[in-house]
Amino acid sequence: MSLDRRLRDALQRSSSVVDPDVGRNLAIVRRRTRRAVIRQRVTTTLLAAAMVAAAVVLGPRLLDIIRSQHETPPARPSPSALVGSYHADLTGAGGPLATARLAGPWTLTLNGDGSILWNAPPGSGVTEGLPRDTYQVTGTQLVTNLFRSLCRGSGVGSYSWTRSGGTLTLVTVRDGCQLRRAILTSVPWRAR
Amino acid sequence: MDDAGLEFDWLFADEFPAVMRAVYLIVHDLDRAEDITQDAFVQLLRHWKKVSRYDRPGAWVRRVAIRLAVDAVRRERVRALLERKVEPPHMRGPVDVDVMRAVRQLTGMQRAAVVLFYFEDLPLSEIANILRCSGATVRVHLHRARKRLAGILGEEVIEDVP
Repeated sequence: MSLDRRLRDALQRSSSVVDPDVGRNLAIVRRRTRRAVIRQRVTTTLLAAAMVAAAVVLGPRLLDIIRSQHETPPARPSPSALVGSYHADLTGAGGPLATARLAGPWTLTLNGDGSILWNAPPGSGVTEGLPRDTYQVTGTQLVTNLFRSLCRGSGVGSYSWTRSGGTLTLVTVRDGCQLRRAILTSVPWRAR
Repeated sequence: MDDAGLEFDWLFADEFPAVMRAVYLIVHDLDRAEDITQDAFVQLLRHWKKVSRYDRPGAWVRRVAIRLAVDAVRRERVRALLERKVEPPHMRGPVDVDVMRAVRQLTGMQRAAVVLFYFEDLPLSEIANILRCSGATVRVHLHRARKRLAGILGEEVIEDVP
């Protein structure tokens, strides 16, 4: 007998032992299918619930991170456009400056390393503290913690700047410190 | 029971024994063959809405069952190799022990090719489709299987693959 013939016969004979109970197997298949479907629905529901929970818990944090990334000032840009010494005569300024005895000649020195030196009018009794006040320039915006000793608790102020020839003009964008606003924006500053 | 349910039951009664026979000849274990065949029909029932629209839903479930059987043989061979265990599954009934023992030496794909070709009498193209390979690969599986079986059984190889 050839191998092929022998194979066919052997497989036919071996398969004859398979005589399954169709009814019993059908019942088992139906039961297992029901279980599989239920398992799949439960898994899907749990997965959806987990995703919702994750969104509720992590969503606000993610939003905070995204917002903070937008709000964080970019790496300190070159302040070279504003580097130099300026002075402004606020002798005639009234309002809060007069009340605080801060009217008079002021000088500001914006350094290339981002620090600012300043001199208040003689007799005002206000002096620079340490560490030095600093500033950052982003495009046409200048952010600074200038006059920390006068503006305790007010944080930083934000100003837009334009420079024309030797004149530096600052306009308030946002600043909670009334004195700093008055000193920086009452009159244009002139380069020395 | 609705029409779809009745239709499934008819197909089940028609196909389950035949599919289980083919699976049994691949895995050589009656209980496992029954489990695997049930698995295939569970998949069929889960996809019945779609598969019932096919021309031959029976061919679909047979294909799934054969693939599951080949996977089972592959896993079994790996496990036996790792555990260095060579314990032949129990085969019942009027079996040509020598041939079936020789068939057990084949890989899962070779066994499936032999069963589908010699037992199911399927054309090479359909075997290729079931085993997800080309017709040429099926020929190679059959050729190697026959060569191996001939060596074990001391038979002469006479090719009858078209």
